[in-house]
Amino acid sequence: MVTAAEIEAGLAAAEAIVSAIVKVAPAIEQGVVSSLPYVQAIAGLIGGTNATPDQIDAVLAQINTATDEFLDPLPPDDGSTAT
Amino acid sequence: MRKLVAATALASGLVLAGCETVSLPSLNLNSAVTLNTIYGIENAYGVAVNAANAYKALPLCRTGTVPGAANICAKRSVIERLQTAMRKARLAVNNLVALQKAYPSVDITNALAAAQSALIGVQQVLASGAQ
Repeated sequence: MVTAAEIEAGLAAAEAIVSAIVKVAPAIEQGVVSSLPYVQAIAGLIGGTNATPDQIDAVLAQINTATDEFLDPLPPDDGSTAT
Repeated sequence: MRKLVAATALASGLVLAGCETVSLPSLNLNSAVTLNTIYGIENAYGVAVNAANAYKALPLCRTGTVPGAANICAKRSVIERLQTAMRKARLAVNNLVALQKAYPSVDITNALAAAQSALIGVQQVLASGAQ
């Protein structure tokens, strides 16, 4: 027999999960959208489309820009994010 | 789901590149097969770096907490290891493309293997971040 307290606890946990997902949804969505062209390009190769030198140059520029962004240092740790 | 898509795409790109390299009877980088191999590596890298950026965009985990469904966060230690792996991968991929441009008839096997190895390193760190 499920008690009211257990149901309330379950709802609270569900709310916490939804809240956490909503907070980070833009970051996740951005990651998915940004990856689509690369996934499509791989699919194109699998499907038989040949790459050109221009495409190679263009993608290299894109991935270098994205890498620069990723390599930006994190803010210093004040002890609160030492994980 | 996002991680699954990214991992699948990354693996597909690496497998694609690997298969084509193995079957290469010629080292002429101007051939369609060679260009496709490099392009496949680049795009696999693109998926990886986007996954890394998405991970980095998450809030950092608070000290003493672990990531979970109700605590979606990125571990500082994972980001720092990813940055180290990503530096190696960028260097390897850029070297591969530069080699293709400068020496179209040179054997790219080693540069290709280096790029694939560096990307696998990135993938492994990404996977550890999902634990």
